[in-house]
Amino acid sequence: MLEAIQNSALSQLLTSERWAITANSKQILETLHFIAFALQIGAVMVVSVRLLGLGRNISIAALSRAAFWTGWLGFAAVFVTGALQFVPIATEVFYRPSFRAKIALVVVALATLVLLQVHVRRKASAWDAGEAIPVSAKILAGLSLALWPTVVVVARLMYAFVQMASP
Amino acid sequence: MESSPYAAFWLDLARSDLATWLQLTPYAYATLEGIHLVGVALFFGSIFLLDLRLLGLMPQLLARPTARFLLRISAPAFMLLAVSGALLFVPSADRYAASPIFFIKMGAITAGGLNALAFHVSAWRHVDVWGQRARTPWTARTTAVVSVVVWFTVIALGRWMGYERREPPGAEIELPSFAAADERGRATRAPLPRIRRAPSESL
Repeated sequence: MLEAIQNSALSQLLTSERWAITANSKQILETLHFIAFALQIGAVMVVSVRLLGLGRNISIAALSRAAFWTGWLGFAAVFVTGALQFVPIATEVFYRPSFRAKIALVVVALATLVLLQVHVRRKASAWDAGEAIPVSAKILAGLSLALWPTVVVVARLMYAFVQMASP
Repeated sequence: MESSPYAAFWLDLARSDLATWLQLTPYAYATLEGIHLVGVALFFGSIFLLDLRLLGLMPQLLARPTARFLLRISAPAFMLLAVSGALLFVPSADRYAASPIFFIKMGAITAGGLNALAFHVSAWRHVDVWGQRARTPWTARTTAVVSVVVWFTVIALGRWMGYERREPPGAEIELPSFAAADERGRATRAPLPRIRRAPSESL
């Protein structure tokens, strides 16, 4: 399966030296990956900051709708650019503990995000009308606010770890 | 650029104790890069949401308090970016000081700042007139589009700078410009480190 991915036509295209855009596909995909995760994580963190008490006069319903849209579109782009980076090195990367740990962290962060979004969507208008934001929602917001930066820092550390381990 | 009178200073900086510490302490530099990226996300994400409002989305949000709220996120994020960015600059100071990409990136950040200033002295002046409407002034919409384009460019240039940085000793890329600078007494621009492609012998 992994070998099939790595030997696929897509993989060959991504590593082809024939065109400048494919010869530099790794750098291009990394750049797009960065822009996409900045959008995704940034937008989601803004909602967390709002729920934790900053900007009390800002409508949570309106803000979170735009932020979650941005977040999920950003995540879609993160996923696509990440998957395309994975394809040419599938067999090498898949069994790495660092790769698995990164994916696991992303899954945990995404699960928190989904819980947070469900919570917010159900109660946003009540909170905007003056109802107090419950501790459970604040804990979710805090978790989300902590997890996404952790994903970024840990992902960067793993990249350095792999570089050091395989000179 | 290569024979800049400041070349010796940048080289001293790149060989300072701080630079050595950042390069030789395991994961110090990588952690800083991660922190810088978190700053990028906070800064860019909050500014992007403001740009969406300036383009007429989320009309339920009053523009003035929304801008103030998002500025309270983007301003500290910018401080985080400046501090972590300055530290990331240090070990490769001589390379970056001679790198066109670094200057273009700083120019683009300046352009982003001037664009924010342009918004501040135009549409923001009468924000209370349009702040509760979906239809925003053309000046607000223009600065919003420029903002997105400029900050996208800055992130891309920042990623590009990462390919030019000096790798720590023991990593896969050697330190050519240290030796070159020692012999000639001035900083020389090292060639772009070649990005190693994963071995794919099965292809």
